[in-house]
Amino acid sequence: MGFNRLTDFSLNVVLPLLFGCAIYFFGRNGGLAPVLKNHAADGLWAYAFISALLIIWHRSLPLYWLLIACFVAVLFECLQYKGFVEGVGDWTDAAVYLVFILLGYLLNNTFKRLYLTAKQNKLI
Amino acid sequence: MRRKNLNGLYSTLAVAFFLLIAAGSARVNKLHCGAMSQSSTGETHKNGMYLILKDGTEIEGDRITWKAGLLSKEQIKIDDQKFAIKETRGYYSNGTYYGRVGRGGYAERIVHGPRLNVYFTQEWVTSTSTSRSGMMRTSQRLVCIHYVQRGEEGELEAIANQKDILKYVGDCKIAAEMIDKKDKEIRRSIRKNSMYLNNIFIVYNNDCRE
Repeated sequence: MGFNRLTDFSLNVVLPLLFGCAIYFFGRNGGLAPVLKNHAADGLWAYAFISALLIIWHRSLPLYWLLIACFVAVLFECLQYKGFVEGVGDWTDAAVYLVFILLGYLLNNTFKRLYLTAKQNKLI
Repeated sequence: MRRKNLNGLYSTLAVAFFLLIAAGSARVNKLHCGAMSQSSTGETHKNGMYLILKDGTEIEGDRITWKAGLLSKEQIKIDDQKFAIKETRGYYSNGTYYGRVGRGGYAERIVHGPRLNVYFTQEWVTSTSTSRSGMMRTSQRLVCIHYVQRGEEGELEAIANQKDILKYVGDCKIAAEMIDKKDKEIRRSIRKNSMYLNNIFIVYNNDCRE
């Protein structure tokens, strides 16, 4: 089975979100290291978020959408910090969002190549 | 062009969807400023100014100041000696203990015990709104965050609701029963006794005895 949009979506959006949910729920009952419990779920959310945008744009995301993604992630944390949105705002979370958004963006070429390879294999 | 517009629409929907996920998983801070009594219990240290380093070393002094922020070094100063905040455990100021929160701040301890310690921070948050007529209105509200620490050296972890408290005291039946109630009952108990939530941790620290 070649690398296609469905595979890409499952691997880079669905799976990270599922892992994030699992960490979030199991972490509430203890048994996870604080760094995992407190930040991994957020990082996986950010990675899934940027991946979803990259996949929508066939992995050629316009720069302004990358900036919008970063802005939205940090803005959400600011709104929580200021109390406009429910939740406990934390600047470390904002940093984690940016790191994982960047990670998703940096891995873009790798997944783009997988598409091309799958396409070439189909043609051969 | 049409494809670009469609991609733009799907992207906007994706942003909305992910924001919904984020909002849905956000921890609502139900522990408002009046939820726990701010009078400290269990403090036995003498008066004066003491900085406690990570290794337990106590440094006595006359004056403690600290600063932290996006553009400043996170530093605490006792008289002329400077330390990175992350290298400290906390400090005493005239009988009140302040424990380090993360890398850049301190929280006041309100419950001190052999197993769990409870802290809080409070700050005024200003918000501005504009009415339809264009009038700008500023309002302020006090936002409190409570933390729990395991032992003297654990990291301070924020608590926001009953589930968070239960996570720490769940292995003590009496304390667990005190918190495992409906919201309405807990609010009533707090109105009757402002030390109600504090007592949950005091019971836990007292070998699960009232």
